[in-house]
Amino acid sequence: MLSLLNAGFLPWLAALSVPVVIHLLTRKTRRKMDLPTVRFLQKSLANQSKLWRWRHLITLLLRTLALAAIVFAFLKPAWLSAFAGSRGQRAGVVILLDTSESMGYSAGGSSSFTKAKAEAEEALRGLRSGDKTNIVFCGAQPTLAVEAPTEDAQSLDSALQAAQVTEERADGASAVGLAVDQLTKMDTGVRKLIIISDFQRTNWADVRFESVPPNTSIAFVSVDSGRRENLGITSLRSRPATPRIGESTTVQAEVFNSSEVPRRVPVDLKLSDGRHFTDSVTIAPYSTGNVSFPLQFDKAERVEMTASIGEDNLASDNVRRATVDLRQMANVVLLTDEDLDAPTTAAFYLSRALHPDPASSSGFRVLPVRPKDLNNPTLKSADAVIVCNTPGMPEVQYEALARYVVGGGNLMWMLYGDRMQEELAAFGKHLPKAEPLPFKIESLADISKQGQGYVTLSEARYDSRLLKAFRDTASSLSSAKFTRFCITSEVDKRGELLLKYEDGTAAAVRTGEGSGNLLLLNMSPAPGWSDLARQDVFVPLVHEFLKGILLRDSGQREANPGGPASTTIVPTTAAVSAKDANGKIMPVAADKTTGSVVIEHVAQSGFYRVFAGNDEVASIPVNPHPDESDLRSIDPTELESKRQRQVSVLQAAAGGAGMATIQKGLELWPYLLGVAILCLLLEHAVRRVGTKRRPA
Amino acid sequence: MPPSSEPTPPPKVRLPPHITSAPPRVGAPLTPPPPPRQARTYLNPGDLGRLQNFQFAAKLVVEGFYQGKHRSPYHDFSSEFADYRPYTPGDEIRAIDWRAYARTDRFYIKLFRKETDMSCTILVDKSNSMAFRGEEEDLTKLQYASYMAAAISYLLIKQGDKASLALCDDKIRTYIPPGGTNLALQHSLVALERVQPGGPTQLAASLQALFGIVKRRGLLVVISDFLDDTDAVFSALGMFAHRGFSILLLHTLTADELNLPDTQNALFRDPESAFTIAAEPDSIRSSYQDEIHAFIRDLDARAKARRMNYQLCATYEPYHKALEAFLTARNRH
Repeated sequence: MLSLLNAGFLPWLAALSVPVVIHLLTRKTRRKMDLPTVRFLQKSLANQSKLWRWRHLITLLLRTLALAAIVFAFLKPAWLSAFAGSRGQRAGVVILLDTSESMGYSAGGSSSFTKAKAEAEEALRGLRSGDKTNIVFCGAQPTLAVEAPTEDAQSLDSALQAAQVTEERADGASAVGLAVDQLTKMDTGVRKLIIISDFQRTNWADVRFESVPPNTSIAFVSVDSGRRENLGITSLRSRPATPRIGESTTVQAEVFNSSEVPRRVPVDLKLSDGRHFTDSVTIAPYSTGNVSFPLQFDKAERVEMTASIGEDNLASDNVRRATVDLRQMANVVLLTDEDLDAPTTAAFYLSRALHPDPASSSGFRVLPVRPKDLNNPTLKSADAVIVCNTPGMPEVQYEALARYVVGGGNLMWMLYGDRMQEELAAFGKHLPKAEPLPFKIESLADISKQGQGYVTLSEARYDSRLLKAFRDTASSLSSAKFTRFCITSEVDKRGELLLKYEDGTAAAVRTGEGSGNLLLLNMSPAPGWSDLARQDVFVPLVHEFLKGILLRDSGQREANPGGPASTTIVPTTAAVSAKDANGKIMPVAADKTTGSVVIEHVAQSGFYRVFAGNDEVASIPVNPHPDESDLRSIDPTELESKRQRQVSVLQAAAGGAGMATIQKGLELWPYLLGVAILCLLLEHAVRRVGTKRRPA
Repeated sequence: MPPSSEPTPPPKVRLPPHITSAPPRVGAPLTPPPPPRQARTYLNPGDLGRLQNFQFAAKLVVEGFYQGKHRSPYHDFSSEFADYRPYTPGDEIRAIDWRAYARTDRFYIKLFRKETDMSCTILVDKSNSMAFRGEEEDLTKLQYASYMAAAISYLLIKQGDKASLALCDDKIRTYIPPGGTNLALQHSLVALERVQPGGPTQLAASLQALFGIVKRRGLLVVISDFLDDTDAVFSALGMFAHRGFSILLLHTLTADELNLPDTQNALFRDPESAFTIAAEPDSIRSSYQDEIHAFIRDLDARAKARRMNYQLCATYEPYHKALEAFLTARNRH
């Protein structure tokens, strides 16, 4: 739509008649002259093109066009986009302002958020009397500047001035939904949605605009300054998440390189117990690099960990926090009728594998129990039970074991012994009908005198947490030779088939039974069954199996600014309270029965501490969402292409110029002057072509 | 008779009465005196146009031409000695008889008798197209041609050759038979002085008619703008060439015909056919010049192919080109 910003100059259009008048006046009457060589003149004229013959009209046209362009330039025409709207109509405008963490990116002295606020201010200045407006602040939970669309630009401006960038992740879809809700409340003929953001890809790529009313114009105003580089710590966790005292633990930090060049990043790790570590990692462009700190914890306590990297243009993601709640050693009940001191028994090797070094803790406290001595208290205190050759176990014990597993216990059953078939069947009878055993034992195989005399493990499921540690040392698992094992039926699809022998028989299967874990090991370390106990892989295999079925608590769920933060404490009757990273008291909701504690809304990163009475009982680490560290932006044209029918305007803004251009339109006078110059140059060329002055 | 060992004394020559034996003046210069300046300027057509008398004009042209060359226009040295005459500026230095100078302290030129005399026919085109005069020029093409013809006639007769004159348009209008006397020269000069342009150009037809008139072969000089059927003209000229004539074509055109007048917009009219055409000279000039130069080159090429001499004589140029061309043609004959 064309608009004339200087319409007062319109009468000057009459000047367009000047070149026509001059052309008519200067068309002199021809002189009559004799020339004997007229025939050569005739030949010359005949050789000229029609276009050349009409060139005087062409020059007239070009002169008129040049003059018209100059006159129009003085009228200051501006090409208004459809977004600029029609004059005289009230408009309903919603400004969606991105307040997410990435908007805090600051380069050249001005942050993206500062630029965005300037654009929003420009948009408010462009409002006309009668226009209804509201502002949506787009964070983790979008909020409105005022309750309902208003004509009071002053109140909106105040809200805008008070707005701050947050450490939250932008929920673009919710923000658009809130904006649409505001737009539908506006009874104006013209509706406009102005989205001012850095259009971070991780936040905006999946945002849809189908819900935007059809007659709404959308302007995408990008404040992305182009090439933004950032390093951010996106993850800090310990493996295992809840290590036991004495257990080898790895604290791993992940760093994301949001830049086009590889970066070498030093990472600092500080623990609340006073320890301090540093390591470096080289990270490829737009990739994640890991740095690991191997640790061991000797006390049962809560340890706060803080990882940090150097300062850059986005500081909020340079620090990350995590908490490790250390536990006592795991109680492992070794249920067996075998002699623990006899080197011919599986129990002998198992008990030594569980505690290989008497001088140091393995994280497991092994309690050997005879089947006839198994009782409920023993089962209740057991973190895991290993069943290893219990031919004389009373029926009631099978029922107790089944109850233990279904109630949340962890049972590792070594299928070993002459009466294994009956034992397993007796146990399986007590499992829920919906969750039977994953397979049946069909017979016992002794292949010591067949073929090569043994089988080896040929397939392993390395993506399972029970076997992940052996991914890079696969050959170690296949080194063990097995001479005796059970022939099983086909494994039910409920079962997680972890290991297979080379003849296809299942060697290890895990399944969930009720709330618990059941791990069936179709193998034995006893000398008559295999040489597994002599292999280096035996001890780590037992430990990984146990840790795998014990690992149900994957640690604390990560809390991000803008959302809730929660934890579980030991149920208490004392009053539960919480304080934020600055010591300010936060409202909490605590369940005294389950020990669940929820802080409804956390605004900043840091450790939020939970108190039961005056005692600090938990700390909740709150960290920025890892996606905010990736500063790559989506081209607004991609967003525009998702809108099929509506009109939108794309602007890459810097310092308010974008909104100014949207509202005033594209001024055309420079182009018109260019056209005028071009026409004059063409006119000069047309006049010169083929023209030759008579020589002196 | 055995050769004499002594040099042969020079023959005694009786000096004619007009050559006196006055004693040499003391301090008299040994170098010949410089020629009068005015004669040289009359090579320019503009200046020539101011002269009323054709004979005087012709004389000045010729003498002015030779002045530049420091030769005498009147005699060459291929004839036997005939007489003495006083030295005039421009005479060949080698023609000075030093013995006569030694005796008289004055410079005398030996005169020789020509063994043969040449007949030259000058055909001047007097058609309507020759009446054209450029805007910034003083002479029409016909006037220019007339002065040129007069100068050539004058030179021929003074050199002892014979000159005839024919004036034509679509046919021969005037014919002065060949003559080598002053009277014959007078007849030609008067005819040239009085000639008026008129009639259409039919040079080919005129040449054919002239061919029937001219009996004795010699030099044919055609002075025209050649705005006729070129094939027909050269076909007619071919007859003369075949008979053994040396042919010189002096092509007269004005500056306006070569470059178009300097005007914005004009309606051009052919004076012979009355055909008119409108044009803007500035915008058509380049293309027109290509055409006219192609025409000139065509004439030149055809002349060369037939061993004829051709010279473009623009009416704003001095006559020396024409005279150079004439002398070249004459010497070849």
